[in-house]
Amino acid sequence: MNALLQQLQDKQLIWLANQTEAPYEHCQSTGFPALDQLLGGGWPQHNVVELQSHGACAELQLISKALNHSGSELLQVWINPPAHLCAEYLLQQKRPLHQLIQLNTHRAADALWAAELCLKSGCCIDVLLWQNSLQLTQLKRLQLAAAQGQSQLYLFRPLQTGQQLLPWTLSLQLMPASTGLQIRILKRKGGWQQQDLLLPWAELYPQFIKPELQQRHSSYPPLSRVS
Amino acid sequence: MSAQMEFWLYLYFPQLQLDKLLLLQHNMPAGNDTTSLDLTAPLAIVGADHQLLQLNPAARQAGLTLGMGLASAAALCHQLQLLPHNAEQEQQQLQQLSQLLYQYCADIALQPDSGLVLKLSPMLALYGGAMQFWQQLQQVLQQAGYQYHFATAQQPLVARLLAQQRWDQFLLQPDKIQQQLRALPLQHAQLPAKQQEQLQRLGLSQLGDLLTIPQAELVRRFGVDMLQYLQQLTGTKPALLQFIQPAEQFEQQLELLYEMERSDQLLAPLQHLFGLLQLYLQQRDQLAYQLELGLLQRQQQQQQLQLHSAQGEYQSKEWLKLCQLQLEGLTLKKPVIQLKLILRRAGPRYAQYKTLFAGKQQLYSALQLLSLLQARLGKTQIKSPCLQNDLLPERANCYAAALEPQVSIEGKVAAVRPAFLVDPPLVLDAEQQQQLHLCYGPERLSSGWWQHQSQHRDYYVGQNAQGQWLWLFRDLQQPELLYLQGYFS
Repeated sequence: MNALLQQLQDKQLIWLANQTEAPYEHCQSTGFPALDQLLGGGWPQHNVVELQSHGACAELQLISKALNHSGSELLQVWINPPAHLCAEYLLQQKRPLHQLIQLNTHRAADALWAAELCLKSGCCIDVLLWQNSLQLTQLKRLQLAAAQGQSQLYLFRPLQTGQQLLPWTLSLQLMPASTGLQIRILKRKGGWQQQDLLLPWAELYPQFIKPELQQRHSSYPPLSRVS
Repeated sequence: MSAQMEFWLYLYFPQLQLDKLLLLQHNMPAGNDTTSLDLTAPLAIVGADHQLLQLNPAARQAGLTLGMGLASAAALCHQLQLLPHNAEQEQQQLQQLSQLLYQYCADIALQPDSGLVLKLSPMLALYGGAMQFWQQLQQVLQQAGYQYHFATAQQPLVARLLAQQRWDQFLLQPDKIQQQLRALPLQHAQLPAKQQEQLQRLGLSQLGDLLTIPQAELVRRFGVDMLQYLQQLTGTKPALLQFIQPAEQFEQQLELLYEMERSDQLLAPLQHLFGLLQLYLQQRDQLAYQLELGLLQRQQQQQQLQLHSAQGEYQSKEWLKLCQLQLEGLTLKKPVIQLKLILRRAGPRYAQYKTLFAGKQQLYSALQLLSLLQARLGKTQIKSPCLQNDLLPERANCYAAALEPQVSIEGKVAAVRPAFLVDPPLVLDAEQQQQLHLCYGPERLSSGWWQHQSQHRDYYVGQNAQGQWLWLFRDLQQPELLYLQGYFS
């Protein structure tokens, strides 16, 4: 029996609980201490991270600090973003505009090809990709490319209803709640099941939500201000 | 051998067209078409007067000789494959050869009967001896892959006569050359047929016999033409030669051996063309930025491809990669029979820097990456965001060409701006307005009052029923409407 176990272990078919330490080699802090703690240090580096949300709920804000930390000489590529990019926002985030490229593709295959090329080129540091569906082989290719080019892919997808079958290193689901953003870990390599985290909106959008003012909301724009 | 003596080298290429076919066959993968020629079977190039001009080894073995008529050739070897002689193409090949040799010799002139005349004497000092120079030339000729014959002499005409007799000696000894010349039979002296006949009737059989007769006597009997011939032969009058100038522009054509219907088949012949381009660019220390590839197709149709490289490339493999990406998206309307590559834009080569200390392995530079993306996705699909000097968000935020340096705009960037903009702004209906939950605002923008298109807007940040963060504004001229301008993300 013991020989059989050994054989299985040699083929790496047995999962050992003590292998779960230090799931990622390098981490990049997210800038939110609570989230760092949840993820065990931050975003895994040189990898593919999935963020599931229905959009416009602070998903870029979560990775904003990681994007700012990246090297200044290298490119940032946005592939198929959902709307026009706002240059003022990017300047506010201290991104040099001429080192940021936006790609639009007609076909999903082209988007994946471009993402893979950018990832492995070595001259891009972060690639942001908006894509609805992804196959296992495609994900594997992207992960290899990211490791080869030492770059990072953030993949934005709508909320998926079915069961997660893809081997993500990290996959998060983002759901807006009334007081903040609810973050659930769908998949994390070598991690344990964790409680959901609620990040208050005031932490995510400090520029326009002041905690002390949060009590008094108005429901629609005051017409009295209009002359 | 004295330094002030003038020496000429004549290179004679007896079968340019046939050699080209052999070279192409060698470079390309074996044609699976039945239409392609079989170069191991007897093959002949036929001139306009139905004489065999060039023969491959198999044809020679079948007993065919040069100058034979078509009828007797067909009688000897019925499966002989025939190709019409293409003088224009041979002239082009000769031009290419001369451009190649121009790197090693300054004075080269094209000759009408598939030959090149090179002036040796000025080059000998540079190469430090005749043999070194000749070795260099031989190496180039070897690489070009054509059959050639050669001879040296003090006069271009003499070198030509000897080379066409396939003397194949590289000598700088006038007495030996003269000896060889004098022994040359008169029928190979390239005199008009009528004069040859007359000379033969006089009992002269070798060129040496002609040279011993006093010139004045010969001229009186044979006229001025003979005088000119003799003067060229003895070098008393310098030959009229037009030396070539290096090509100003790169433009190469390639006839395909068989019609190609799939675009991936084109890569092998393209590699040959890009190889020529690489040589051209290397010799001039240049980079190519833009190429035009013409695909000439059956029934005189043509398709054009524009190839761009933002960084500039000279290496054939890089251009092949860019070309491959464009060919993948191309459907050929008709089978391709000819390729034409033109260099449209080139510039001086400069050192290309790569990051050394970032600790990253760079496969491509940023500009190379851009070229690859543009080649597959199209030029318009790739852009960088850009800020204009305007207050209104839809005018301030626009796009510019990717990776180009941008003008920086003075002033502070506004604090609250969304990541994504909706263009044009959407009007929210009453129900959507009811579900909104405003958090921030108003921020008033008044713009354009100095023109006649003043805009006054109050901007708010709000959250809708789905929890999405929106950037909204109310136009003061239409206070009942609420517009959605962007999404925070």
